[in-house]
Amino acid sequence: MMFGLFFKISIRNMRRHWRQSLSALLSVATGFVALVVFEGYMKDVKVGFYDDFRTRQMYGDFIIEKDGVFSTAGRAHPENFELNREDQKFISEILDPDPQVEAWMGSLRISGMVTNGRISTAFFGVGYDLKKGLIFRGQRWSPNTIYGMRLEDAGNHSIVLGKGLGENLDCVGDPPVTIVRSSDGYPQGIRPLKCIDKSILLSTWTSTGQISALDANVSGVVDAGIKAVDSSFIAMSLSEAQSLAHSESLSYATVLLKDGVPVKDFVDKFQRAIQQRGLNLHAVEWKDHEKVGDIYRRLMSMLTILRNFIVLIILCIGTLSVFNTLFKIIKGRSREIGTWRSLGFTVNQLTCAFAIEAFVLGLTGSALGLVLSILFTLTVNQGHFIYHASVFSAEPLYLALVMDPQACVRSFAILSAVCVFASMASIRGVVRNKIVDNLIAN
Amino acid sequence: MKNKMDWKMAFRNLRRNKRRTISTGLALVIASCGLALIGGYLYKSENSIRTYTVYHLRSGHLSIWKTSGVDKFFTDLEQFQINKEELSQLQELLVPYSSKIEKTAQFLVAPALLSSGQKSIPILLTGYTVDLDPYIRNHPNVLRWSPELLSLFSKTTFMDALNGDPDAISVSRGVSELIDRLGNFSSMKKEDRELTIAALDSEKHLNAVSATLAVQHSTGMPFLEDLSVNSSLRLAQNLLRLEGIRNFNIFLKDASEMIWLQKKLQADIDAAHLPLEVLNFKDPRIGQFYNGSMGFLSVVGFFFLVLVLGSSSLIISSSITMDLLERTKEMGTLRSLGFKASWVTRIYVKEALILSLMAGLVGVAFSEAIAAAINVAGWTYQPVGLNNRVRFLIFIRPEIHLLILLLLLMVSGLSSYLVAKKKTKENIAGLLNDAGASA
Repeated sequence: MMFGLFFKISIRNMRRHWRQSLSALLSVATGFVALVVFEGYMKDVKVGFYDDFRTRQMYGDFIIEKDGVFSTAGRAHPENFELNREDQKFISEILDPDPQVEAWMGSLRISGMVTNGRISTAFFGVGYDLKKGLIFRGQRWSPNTIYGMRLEDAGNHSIVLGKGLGENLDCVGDPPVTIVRSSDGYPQGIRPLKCIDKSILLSTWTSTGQISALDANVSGVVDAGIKAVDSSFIAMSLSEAQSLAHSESLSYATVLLKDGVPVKDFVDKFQRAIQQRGLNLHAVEWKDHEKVGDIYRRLMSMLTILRNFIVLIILCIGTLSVFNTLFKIIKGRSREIGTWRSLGFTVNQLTCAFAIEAFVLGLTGSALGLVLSILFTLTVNQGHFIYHASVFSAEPLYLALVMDPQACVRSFAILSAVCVFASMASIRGVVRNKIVDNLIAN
Repeated sequence: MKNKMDWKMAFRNLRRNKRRTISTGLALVIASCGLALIGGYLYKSENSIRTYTVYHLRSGHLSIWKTSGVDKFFTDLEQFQINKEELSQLQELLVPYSSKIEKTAQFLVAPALLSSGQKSIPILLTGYTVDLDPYIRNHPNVLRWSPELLSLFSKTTFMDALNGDPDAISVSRGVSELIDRLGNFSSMKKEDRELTIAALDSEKHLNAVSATLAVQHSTGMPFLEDLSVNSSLRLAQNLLRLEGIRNFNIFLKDASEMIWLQKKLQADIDAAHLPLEVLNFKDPRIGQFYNGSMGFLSVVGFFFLVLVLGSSSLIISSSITMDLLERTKEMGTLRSLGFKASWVTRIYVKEALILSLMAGLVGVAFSEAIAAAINVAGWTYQPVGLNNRVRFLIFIRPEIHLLILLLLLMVSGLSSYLVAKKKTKENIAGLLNDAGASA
């Protein structure tokens, strides 16, 4: 009852003292824009990473590997740290009948030398199950080549190259086009690929030290992510990678869950099944993976530090500004406070009334900030500004912002708290004065 | 005389209302402090990335390649090498600029296979003039901007190892792991240290040379760590059967002369009809690490500066506006005493300028103190794209402080001028009756 009355009064007061309230509103609104816009950039980077790693690069929701695969022993003798038949059978037994699983896919890492007869260079690549790969990539990333044909449509003995490796081997777009990475997938249609020689020879060393070779045709060029990886990346079918490596094992398996399935819970459940079976495997979400998620974690940690720094500065300046404004408003309304008190309102009720007014101020300022943030976000997103960040992307990126409802709620909560705190700090002295002093205050 | 009185009055007014001065002043201090700290961080980051690119990645400030060699060197080693004759002509062209050049280095890079007998792995062999190592290790820029990256160098110098054995090679830790040769190389059996490097030579034939495992280094970059092998220039030339080099890098005494020298040198090269091109380390064709890192950092820095600067400016401006609105009666009193509107406006602008200047100076002191505390704390972090942890340091240039100070003066001066000018032009009776901010 009392709350409703104070709420009505606070709205009326805000309208009556609009000139003073405007200053506080502006402070809250600009603080809101700063917080939401930076969070919007962070969210865009995060969404971009998820889209790239989970979908386009087919890491799915989590990765299953042997324990110690990146230990010194694992790197010196990777053949001892691959998923053998028993491991694959176990994975299949657990995941195939599970209705929460969309698909799981085995992959084999492979490295060696690639030559087109004129140029010879090192490659690091992956062989994957082509049919499952299509499920992982979904409709948006089903066509995944920048130039040429995707692996799934090319015949046997086909490979795709990272764009950088393609350039080294004289396989380039004809004509070259600038493709900016976005989560909408690539523009429709096949962009022609021109190679001086599409026939190449891959050679590698088997676990027994023998040289193994494979003649293959370059069908297309893909963006392999980070520039350093892109300049030595190849992808091929799992069966051909296994045949080249003389192996039936997998380096790792990736699992795609159905939409809405809680990933962490599922990973925990799968990990328990591994322990029950006594296998030396582990399951980990791609973002927590030692190698795959490394750049994501570092980038997000850096952005989080900067975001916190922004929050700190906005909080300090905003609090002072709001405090300053509210102090003036409250001081100017000493007589009004005196009248309220002479009518029988208690100090607590008055503090509460002004806190509600400050909260309404925070709410209105946030609403104004929300409108400004939406306008700013639309302007940036429509601007199609392009930037290069080869620390995590071989292709240029669009500068984009994502309106994050959680960030809006968080910013509103922070700024409203600032207003309430500033109001309570400002009113303390005035309400404790004698009623008569308030009534005769100038 | 009158001018002096203006300043005195403005100063007195500030002292008179301590609460107002302190709260607006504090907001200004925090804004200037935050901006200076982020400016100092971006400045330090740019310098570290530049130092890493120029010295640790050995890109030099300028890099000279055969025309189109950046894209095509590996497609035709013979055609796109800088041959002996061109190299000698180039060195002659550099003589007039010797006072500007601190160091030069020659490079020959080749994808190859490193074989231990039991295992073979693909590598990227870099043959270079190894007297570059001690130069880089002791360079003042390296010691100042990225001292923690000195650990990338091996404890035993590669140059010393080469003096004892011209076939000595230095391998990255990742390569050591992949070929199963971990530990102290000098205590290994001779046969375990002897390796073979094979590659397609300039005539597209497979060629191989012997190499001795001598030293371990680190590239600092996770994705090069499994590929990097260093050798003498001679060993790489023997492997590729080439007499020339891939690129010739120049390290300058004064980096600010880079663009000037690049243009002069290119003009001299063109005049001598040499098929060479001069690139600087920021060129996207050779400076992917620098451009990628700075591209990202610039976007983040831009966002940060725009958001903090924009919101601080607006908040400060509204704070000053409120201060002036609160003093409408005071303006009316001054006007009724006969002071001109322009004079009253001047007083308030000066008041805002004094406040901003004082707050800015306090901000300088605070930001320097915070930066010093952070630098002493020795916090480290792992930047994107590097293996090593680097120290979190903040270096604030005087220019950054000056820029922020000017900005504060501009924002507060402009806000106070606009509000005071508008208010003082109102009718005096109206000003005296106006309740201002206390209505």
